[in-house]
Amino acid sequence: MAGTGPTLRVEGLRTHFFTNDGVVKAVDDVSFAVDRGHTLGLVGESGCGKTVTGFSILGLVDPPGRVTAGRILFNGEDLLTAGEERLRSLRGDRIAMIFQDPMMTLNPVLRIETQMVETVLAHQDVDRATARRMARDAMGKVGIPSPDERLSAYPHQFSGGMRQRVAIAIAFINQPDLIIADEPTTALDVTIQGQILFEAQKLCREVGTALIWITHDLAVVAGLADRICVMYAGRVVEEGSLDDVLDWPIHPYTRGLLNSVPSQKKNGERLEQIPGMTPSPLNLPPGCAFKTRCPRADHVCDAEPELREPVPGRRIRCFHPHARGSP
Amino acid sequence: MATVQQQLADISVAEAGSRVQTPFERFRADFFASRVATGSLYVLVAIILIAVFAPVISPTNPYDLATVTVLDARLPPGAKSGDGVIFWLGSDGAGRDLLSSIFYGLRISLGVGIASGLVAVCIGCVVGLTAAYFGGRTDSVIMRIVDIQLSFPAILVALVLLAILGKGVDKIIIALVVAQWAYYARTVRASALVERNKEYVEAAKCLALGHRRILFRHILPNCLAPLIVVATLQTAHAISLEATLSFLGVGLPITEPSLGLLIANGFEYMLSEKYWISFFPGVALLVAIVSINLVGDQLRDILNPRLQR
Amino acid sequence: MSVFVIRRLLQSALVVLVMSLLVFVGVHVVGDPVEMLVNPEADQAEIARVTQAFGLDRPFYEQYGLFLLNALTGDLGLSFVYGEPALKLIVQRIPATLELALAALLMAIVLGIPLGVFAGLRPDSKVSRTIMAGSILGFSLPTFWVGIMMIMVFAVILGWLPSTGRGTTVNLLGVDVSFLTMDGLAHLLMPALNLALFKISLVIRLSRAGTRETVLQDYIKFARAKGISNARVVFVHLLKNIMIPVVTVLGLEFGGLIAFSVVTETVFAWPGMGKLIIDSIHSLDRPVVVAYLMIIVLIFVVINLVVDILYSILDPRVRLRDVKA
Repeated sequence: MAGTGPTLRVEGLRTHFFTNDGVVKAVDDVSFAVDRGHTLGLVGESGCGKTVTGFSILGLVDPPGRVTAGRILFNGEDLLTAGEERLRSLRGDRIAMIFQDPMMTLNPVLRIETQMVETVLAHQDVDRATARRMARDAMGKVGIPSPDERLSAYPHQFSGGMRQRVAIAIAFINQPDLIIADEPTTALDVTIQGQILFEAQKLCREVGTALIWITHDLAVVAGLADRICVMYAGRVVEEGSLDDVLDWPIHPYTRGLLNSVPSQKKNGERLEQIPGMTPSPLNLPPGCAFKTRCPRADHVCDAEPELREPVPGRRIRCFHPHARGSP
Repeated sequence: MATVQQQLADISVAEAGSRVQTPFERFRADFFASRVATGSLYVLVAIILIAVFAPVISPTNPYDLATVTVLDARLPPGAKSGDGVIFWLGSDGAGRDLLSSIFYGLRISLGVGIASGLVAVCIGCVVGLTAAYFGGRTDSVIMRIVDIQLSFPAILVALVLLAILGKGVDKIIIALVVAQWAYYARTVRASALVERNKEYVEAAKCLALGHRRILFRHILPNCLAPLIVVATLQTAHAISLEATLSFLGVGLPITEPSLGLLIANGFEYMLSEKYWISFFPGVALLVAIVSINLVGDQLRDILNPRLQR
Repeated sequence: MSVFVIRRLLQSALVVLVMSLLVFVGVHVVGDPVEMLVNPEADQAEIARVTQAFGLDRPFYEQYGLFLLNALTGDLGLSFVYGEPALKLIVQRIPATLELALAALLMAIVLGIPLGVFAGLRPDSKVSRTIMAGSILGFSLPTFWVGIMMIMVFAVILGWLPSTGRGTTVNLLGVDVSFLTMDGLAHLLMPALNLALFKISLVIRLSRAGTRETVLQDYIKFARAKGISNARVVFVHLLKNIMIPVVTVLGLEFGGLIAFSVVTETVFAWPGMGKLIIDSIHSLDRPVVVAYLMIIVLIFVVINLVVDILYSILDPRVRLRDVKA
């Protein structure tokens, strides 16, 4: 268990993919921290590198990708220098991950029970019966009815929402210190989405698990996160507590994201969008990656902006930050 | 500052500069990207040329009884015959030059394999297209027959037919056709089923085009890709099958010796270490089959839609 | 589950019936049936007897009925060459063929799957490339030629293994088997390997393709994210997924093994069904040919049935879908 200090601190993480067509800088200088029991919302468009960040933390980046720089301090231990065996013992036990697509996360030819029990047996020295009981309890906690029957079932007999609940149960079963949830509700109905969010939040509060919730949907994290970290083209562009960021979005991209969320107040008005498209990761423009779509960009933005801390607890990477209260 | 418009303009300039490849050019580029496949194709072409021009390029005519004498029998590779002709690969039990026998044998092996393949393809196409296009009862009945036939190995089907029909080139072609058509039928039906549900078929039907026209002018061309792959690999299999049947003595008669028969002839000399009589025809057979398989493999890889870029 | 089995059983029975009709028609339509079934050197009395026994002077459906009746009681005619009931001759040789085919199947699984999975997990290593090149050779090489070369190299030149025939047999549960003796194994090795070569290549390619596809799946990554040991990921998560197509193909191909044993038995003079049928074809021993056909049809139908059932056990999706249907 963590003493003082955050459960997870990522510093200057860079993960690059060395493909035949060139180097893809999927994660390019990402830094953030998550405290015990807190939730961090990692927000950004698809392709901005959030999922790769998650995999990098767990050491599951497959070739041709590789972490090239940075530190990942989990309870003070740098995961990037830990061996593969150490990482394996941490995965599923101290750090767990929930994937995006519930259809493909569970092995179709193995029973649910098998897949849950093996998670326990891989990390705890208990007998099968105990592990099975733990699995049953976990199913109950995420709100799956008649867990005994469900345990002997196969994944394809479950609905998408149920499968994701199972994935959450598996993530929590060893009471990890950190959970990385990669867009777990994107593939589900909106109503189920709400339930899943609620379950996850409840469990985190109970156990004191730190949670990183990766999503492209700001509305989702608005009700869930303690801090928000906005990513664009592999870089962190803004970070701060939820209230602060929503109250005063500094980065033009964050502002654009917030403005494009449909809301009651703007009833009848045209939906706002951020013009243009995300640049191809193979072909990032030099300097600020957002400059091609930014209404405030000028020649200054041809240089690379650094991550600064204008106000304690707020980090921002921009040459033309919005002042507080500006439109 | 680069605006969105600027970006779009840049993209269209870049596109106009490069030429768009035709599908055929792309196919050709993809195929020859593999050195192995390219090499195999050259070998295959060489073999086909040898087979076609066998009478012209053979050092001797091994079936001209006037020149063949038992005094030349079982000579090792490189030895000279009584007439002073060099037997590059040795001679067989009857005194025939092995190299020439192989050339003639290739002719027959390839000829029978390809001929039976072509006929089987035609029959398979018609059956498969009919089943896929008309669906319903027709489809069920036809596919039942196809499935049952496919549950029996080709060699058995051929063996049984030849046991009943006897020997002869025409009979072995019939046997090979019967052993193969079902496989083609199933392949064609599978692709035709996919095509049938596509919109251009609906459009053609709306135009009240006749069934035959729709089938042959519209659906068939789109089924060709997997068919070509299967046909290539199956032809290799057919050649191997014919050789096996000839070896077993139920295939071609002695008057038309394929490579299989040559190998069978050499079987009895194996124990006395006169290996060349079976060895070299086998190598020729092997080279033919492997090159066809490698070409077929490459075709399959580049025509596979799942691997398409 | 039992509905599934019953349905398959009925279908299989139908197939056997249809095939028997086809065999019957084949024998009677292609040439004079009397000539087909009677020893060419028989005298008038023998011809009359056979004609009577098989009812060859009766209408077609009666003849077929008689044929079926005879078949059900196990009477498929007498062999011209051996003078014994054709069925008995064939059944005597089934154990030898089965032993060969099963040994080949075992080799295909034991050699093919590990090699294929390895090639799939490390597709770019030199070893993998060698394995794949070997597999192309494996199924391009004609079985009979490989057999001849094997005898040439291992028996004639090196003298390590006996060249032909079956080794000493031991009676196991009423059946003669040869794999329980060293001599038997020595005789079994080459023919089984020869027969298995094609299948090994097939299994290697299948396992490799299956492995490459499965390894990319999310559930494999998820299993690793749970901290499951690498060994378990490969042997439980991966293997069970690729087993399904491999088992299906192997099951369907087992029939092919029995069919191709015809070739291997001829090359290695292995006293099985295959050698018998070839000899019978050459000596025009037609009753044996007919009997062989019927037995083979029966064997194949049973094999397909077993494979279907096995498949439904391995893939739970099939089992449940069928029950709902």
